[in-house]
Amino acid sequence: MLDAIFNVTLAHYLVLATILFVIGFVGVTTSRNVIRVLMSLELMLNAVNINFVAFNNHLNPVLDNGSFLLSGQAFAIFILCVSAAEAAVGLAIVIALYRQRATVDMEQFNLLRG
Amino acid sequence: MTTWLTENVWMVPLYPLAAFFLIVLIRAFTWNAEDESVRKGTRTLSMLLTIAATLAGLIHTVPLVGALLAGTLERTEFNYPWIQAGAFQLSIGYLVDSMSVMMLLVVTFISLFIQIYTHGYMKHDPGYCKFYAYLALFNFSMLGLVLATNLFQMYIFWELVGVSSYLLIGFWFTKPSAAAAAVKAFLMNRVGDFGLLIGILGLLVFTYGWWQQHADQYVLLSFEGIAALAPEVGLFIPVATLTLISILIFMGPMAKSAQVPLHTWLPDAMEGPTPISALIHAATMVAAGVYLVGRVFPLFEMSSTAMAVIAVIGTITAVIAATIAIVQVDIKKALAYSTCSQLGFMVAAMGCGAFAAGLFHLFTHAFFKAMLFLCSGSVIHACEDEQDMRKMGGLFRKLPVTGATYLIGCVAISGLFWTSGFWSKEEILIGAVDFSPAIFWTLAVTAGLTAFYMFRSFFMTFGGQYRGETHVHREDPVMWVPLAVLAVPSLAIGYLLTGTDLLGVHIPAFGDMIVPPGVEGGAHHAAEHHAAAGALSHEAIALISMALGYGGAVLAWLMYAGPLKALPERVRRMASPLYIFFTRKWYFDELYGAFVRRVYLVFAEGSAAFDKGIIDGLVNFTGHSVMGTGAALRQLQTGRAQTYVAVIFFGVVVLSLLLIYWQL
Repeated sequence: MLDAIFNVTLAHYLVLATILFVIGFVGVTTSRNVIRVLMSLELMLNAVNINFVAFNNHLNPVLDNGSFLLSGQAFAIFILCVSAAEAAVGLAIVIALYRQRATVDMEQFNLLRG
Repeated sequence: MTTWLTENVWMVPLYPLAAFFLIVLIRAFTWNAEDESVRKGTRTLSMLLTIAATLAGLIHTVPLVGALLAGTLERTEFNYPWIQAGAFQLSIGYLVDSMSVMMLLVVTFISLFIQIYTHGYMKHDPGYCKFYAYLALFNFSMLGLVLATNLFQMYIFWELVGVSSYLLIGFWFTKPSAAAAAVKAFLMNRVGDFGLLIGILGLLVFTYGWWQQHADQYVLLSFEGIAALAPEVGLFIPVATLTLISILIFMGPMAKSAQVPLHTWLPDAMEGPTPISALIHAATMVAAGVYLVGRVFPLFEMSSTAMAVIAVIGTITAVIAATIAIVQVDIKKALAYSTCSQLGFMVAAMGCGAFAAGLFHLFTHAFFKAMLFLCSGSVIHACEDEQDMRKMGGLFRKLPVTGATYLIGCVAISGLFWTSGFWSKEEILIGAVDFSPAIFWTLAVTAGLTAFYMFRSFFMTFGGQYRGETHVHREDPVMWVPLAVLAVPSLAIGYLLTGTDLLGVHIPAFGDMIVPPGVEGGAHHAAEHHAAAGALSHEAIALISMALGYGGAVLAWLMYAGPLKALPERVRRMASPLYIFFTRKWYFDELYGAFVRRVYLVFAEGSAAFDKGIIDGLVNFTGHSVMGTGAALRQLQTGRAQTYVAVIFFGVVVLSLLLIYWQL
């Protein structure tokens, strides 16, 4: 029973990641607040990170001498760095936008409308 | 001396060109001068510059003419590269031979006296300086045309004389009729020049290989080369195409020398000042067409159809113009139609193969027709710009020199006695009788008509009683002296050039001096060759032309000065449809008007509708459809980042599905 509960397979990770990604995607596309959009974006990135780590474990099992490859994890760390930078830039832009338009409502940022 | 003059004959056209630029330069400094003496000085200087330039040309030419008469003139040709593109090279140069020397003499001699005359005629005209400048420009163009070595060079100067003619016909451009006449002349000549250009290019396209082979001998399209090419031209061009090319080339002379059906501009060109009518539209420029035919004569000779077409067109022109001249009451119009008719004689002679006869008539006609026009100018000037002969009459006593010279001109053009016109016209008739009896008889009757209408105009103007109201002024010496001078060649030059001795010096016959390049002998030999074939003898021809000439002259005297004065009115009433037909100039202008309205404008409107509907429609449709698509697609551009994100996301999803399920 416990075994069945704690035997976490790749599928579990993927389902989790998918759920996170969809939540993030819905957040990105439907939120009107820019901050929430940025937060949802982080969710989507983290869903990808989970995928990377899960697939790394699945594709690169532990070798006989006890060593194992960590390329998926390396990607995940990269993505964390990039997303941190992206969040910094994104928040800076949000502040600039706020100074300009006195709002953070996505609906108001439609200068490119055809 | 003669060699130097021959080698430097390029100076002859450059004298008047220099005069032209000097006058323009002087005018640029003095055009708004207040001082009366400055303005007067400018006028005098313009006149003197132009006359001096022409005189220099004449002096340059006279020794060459002497050499021609003495038989020592050597054919000289100089060419300079003008346009070069690979092996293709156009040249510009100058050519001295019997034909060009003859034309140089005609142009410089007649120009000189007309320019002197102009001083009297245009004395009170505000455009006096401009007129002299244009005269100089025309002289440059005409002399350049005469000296051209090849068809391309001739074409350039051909257009230049056209421009000068346009400027001078429209000299009094504030008068709407003059402006219209200038445009008409220009357009009619465009039609002809278009044909000429196509003809030249056609000839070049077919024979370019031959010119390449002989590049070291003959300059591209040179007249000498054309004469050498002509005998073997059949190797390059099928006869039908050659005929077409010849007729296309002949379209140039048709317009320039006012041949039917492109003749209608010449009578209208009489809107220009009378010295211009004398110089350009009687003596020199209109003869350029005949000159061009003479230059490419060897080529025309290769197509008998083309020759026949030329002969027939010339004959038709001679007849039509003569019939119109009979009923003209405007003295200048009558002379204009007479010019047209005489040019028809020349062209017909060319077409009949009587090369020298055509050029001989050109030569003699230039003198007496220039004189006749100057006489008409003198009359018009004396009658205060009256041109209607019905309001003249009895002017002989008031204008004795004009009257006498006009009579000489009439006698000469009618071919009476031993005047110059007699000799040249007889040569043409001799040439025509060998070619075709129909053309011969038509031309002979036309010669009778010529005598009739010329003497009619003489008796209407100078005979009887004065019918006008204005006071008739006296003649001005500056105007009658040129008349008197031109009367001498009008009387004598024909006889002189029939192979006579003058003061112990033998002067060769015109036909022996001027022979077409590549042809041995010329018209004389051809005529003698055919005379045995049972045609009319030369004496009979001379008698016929004399009889018809005298008949015409006597009839004119009877009807307009003699006992049958009531006859013209009765004839007019009896033959009224014919009379109206002639006074309306055979309805050529109406025909062209109708053609333009009914055919050309309809076609143009159709084309415009096609352009506006189909062509513009296609272009506009493209524009509109792009705009419509854009209007539809712009709805996608919401300007909201979230829409774009969604589109990208679903795009990736669709692409992934495609990759996975369809293995793309």
